[in-house]
Amino acid sequence: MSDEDINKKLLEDLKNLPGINAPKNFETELLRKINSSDKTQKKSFWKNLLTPPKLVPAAVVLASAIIIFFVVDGNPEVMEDPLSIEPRLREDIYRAETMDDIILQNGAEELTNETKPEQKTIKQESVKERFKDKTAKGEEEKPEGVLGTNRGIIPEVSYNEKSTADSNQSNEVQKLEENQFQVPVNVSSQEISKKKLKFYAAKFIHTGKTRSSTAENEN
Amino acid sequence: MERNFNDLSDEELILEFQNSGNEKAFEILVSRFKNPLINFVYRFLGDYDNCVDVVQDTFIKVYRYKDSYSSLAKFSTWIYTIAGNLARTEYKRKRRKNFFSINSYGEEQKTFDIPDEAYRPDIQTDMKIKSEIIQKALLKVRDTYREAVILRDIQELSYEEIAEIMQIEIGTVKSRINRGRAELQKYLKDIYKD
Repeated sequence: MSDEDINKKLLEDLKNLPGINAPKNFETELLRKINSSDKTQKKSFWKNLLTPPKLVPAAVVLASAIIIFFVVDGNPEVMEDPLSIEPRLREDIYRAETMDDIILQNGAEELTNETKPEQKTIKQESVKERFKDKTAKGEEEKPEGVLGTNRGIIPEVSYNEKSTADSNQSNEVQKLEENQFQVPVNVSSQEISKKKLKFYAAKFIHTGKTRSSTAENEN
Repeated sequence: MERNFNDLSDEELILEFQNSGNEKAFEILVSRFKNPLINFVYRFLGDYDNCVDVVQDTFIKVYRYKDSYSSLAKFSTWIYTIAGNLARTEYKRKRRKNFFSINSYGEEQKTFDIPDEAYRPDIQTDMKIKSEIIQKALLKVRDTYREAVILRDIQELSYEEIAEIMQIEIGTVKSRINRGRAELQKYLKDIYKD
């Protein structure tokens, strides 16, 4: 048998296959399924959700949430008026009324910021000398390296020291600080008194001479 | 005066059901299409109980989604499309379910010959045995080819209708039918060799 014959025979057999019929209760079963599916599908999710009995707990929860949100104040902290609060006292800013205070404060701060006791003694001496010189001269000029504001004075030196504080280079810091101040003059108090005495003595002699010469002229 | 729905075409009946919701029109459609659809789905699935369920689901979908039918298409192609989609889904579901079962669907899966007294020639006629063998061979054919062969050679639909039902080109329909027939010949060559 050739392929064409087989094909023809196959097609013929496929056409003549016995028909399969639906069961007798097909329609009744179908209608029952349709009715049952209608009952289940009639109420959609939103319709089911919005039916009154099921809304009651949701409404209660919603109402209680509104009461909690609006009536009960969840944040008991009273808001402070920022204008009525006193400003914080800053420890890094000093208030100075006179220039002497500024110089002393600068010197004291420098001392506190020092790490080594040797540096402290050097500083202390230099500050003292500087103060003495300025008081002797009666200068009223602004001290170097000091920033003044209306509220306080921020020393520049403290910022410089802060920037190098973590570097552990104490010698370099010392050199820098020495350059900022005038070179101290090591003069003891006895010498000063001697100088003063000499000065006053010379003055006295000079004035004595002049007085005697004027008296002689008068005579 | 009551209209005689039996004289109406399929398209007129579904339009009547769409517009008036008259269930008499739907019942006539059911009576017209239940056997062709049972035949189509049974040849595709090979299981009568599942086939009945699939056809009933098809009619439920028609009933529920009657408004989605467009009068531009033939009613028969629309209902065959629904039935074909449901049958394919059921076939895939069954194949997954019976992956390790001896009674499994699928063309490539090994089938086991279970002795059945119904196949004895002294009890049943020759044609019935042959139809059983053809049905077994059909189930071995790849499902895409099988659907095309059933619609063309058993349901005797046109290529255009099959293309519309399967939502593929006519050329693809023809090639699938030819390949399906070739596979079927391969499985049935022992019957036709004499």
